[in-house]
Amino acid sequence: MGRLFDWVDRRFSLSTPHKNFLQRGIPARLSYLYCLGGIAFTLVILLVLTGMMLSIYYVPSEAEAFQSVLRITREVRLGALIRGLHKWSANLLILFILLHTLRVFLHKAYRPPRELNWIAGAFTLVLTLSSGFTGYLLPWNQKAYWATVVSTNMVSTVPLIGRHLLYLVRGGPEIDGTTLVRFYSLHVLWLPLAMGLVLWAHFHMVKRQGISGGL
Amino acid sequence: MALTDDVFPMDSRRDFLRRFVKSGFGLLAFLFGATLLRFLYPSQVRTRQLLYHPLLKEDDIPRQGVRRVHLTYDKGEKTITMRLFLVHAGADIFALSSSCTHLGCLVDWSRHKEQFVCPCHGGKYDMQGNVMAGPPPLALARMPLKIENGVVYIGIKE
Ligand code: HEM
Ligand code: FES
Repeated sequence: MGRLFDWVDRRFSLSTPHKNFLQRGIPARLSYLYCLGGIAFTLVILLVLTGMMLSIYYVPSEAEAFQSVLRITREVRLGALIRGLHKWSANLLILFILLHTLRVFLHKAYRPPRELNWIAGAFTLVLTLSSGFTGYLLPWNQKAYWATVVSTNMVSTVPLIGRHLLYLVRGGPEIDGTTLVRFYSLHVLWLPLAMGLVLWAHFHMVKRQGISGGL
Repeated sequence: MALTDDVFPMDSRRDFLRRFVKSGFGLLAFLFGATLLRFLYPSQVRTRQLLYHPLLKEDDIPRQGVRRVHLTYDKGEKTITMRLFLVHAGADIFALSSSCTHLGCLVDWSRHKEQFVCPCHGGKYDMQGNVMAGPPPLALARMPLKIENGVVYIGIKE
């Protein structure tokens, strides 16, 4: 295993540029509070893995979505486990992003030159909430349906263009198969891709700027 | 001091930790692979067959119109009861599933309106099961039905 890795690495040269970063000394003052961001990232990885697995059995269509989710929970081997992991990590992710944000705030780590990274972090929260919102419709049951009716209704209260925003979000006046498919596409394609991009930027800046002095 | 350093030189501790962490990740990768394979493997490898279950006697088919009936059958250890409708329209006899094609609420036959009415979002179907109003995208599903030796059977995929 190690030899194979070395063989690839000598040609691909992946470990050298990261060695300095991964094996750098870490200031002794760091505490476990600095793990909150890493925990959030671990949850994102878990979400991507379990989400990719769910997408094998999930059918994003008006007529079959609900049945396919039932099948995942009842028939697919370990289906309930994978679905449960996806759901729990989605909820915990929000919690840990907030805790991580709190840590950064209390340590005043948002100050120059790290403002842009605070902004990148804020984007990960927005992307997470959007993923949770679009994912919530996917089981296509009563709770999902009505939650989305109520929450999409909110955009219609925007002055002047509210009605058009509503049609844009729903893909029509009502919540139907069109809404389901666009939420699905956002949930498994657009948002995870955007998340990957933003997280890459986030980590890149951590690497370049180092960890801030803290309190 | 010299003693501990000899027994546990720094480098070997570092090596040990490195190996420890690496094997941890290896174990995780293995667990994930095993879970993935188990998840992907079909839960049922037999082809599913249509099994016919007795519903009621031929004499109990309505002369004309709709009758609400319950089909009870065993699936593995579970006993399943489902509501469906037996319809006699003209010369046609057929069975309609009672689950609304919108989000699966159970519809009921309204004798008074001569329609199947869904309690959830106002879906309505005519006696043939065709959508008359509301959000349902499809007609009510017809279930396989056969009549043999005076008994009505309903087919369910096992
Ligand atoms: C930021 C990351 C993500 C969050 C916060 C998130 C959140 C959610 C939520 C709240 C649900 C509803 C769960 C339920 O009620 O069972 C869901 C369902 C689902 N998600 Fe995600 N998700 C994320 C990433 C992904 C990714 C990357 C994929 C696929 C590539 C994916 C695929 C699915 C599928 C197929 C379902 C429907 C199955 C089900 O309801 O059990 N998700 N997601
Ligand atoms: S479930 Fe029947 S109309 Fe919505």
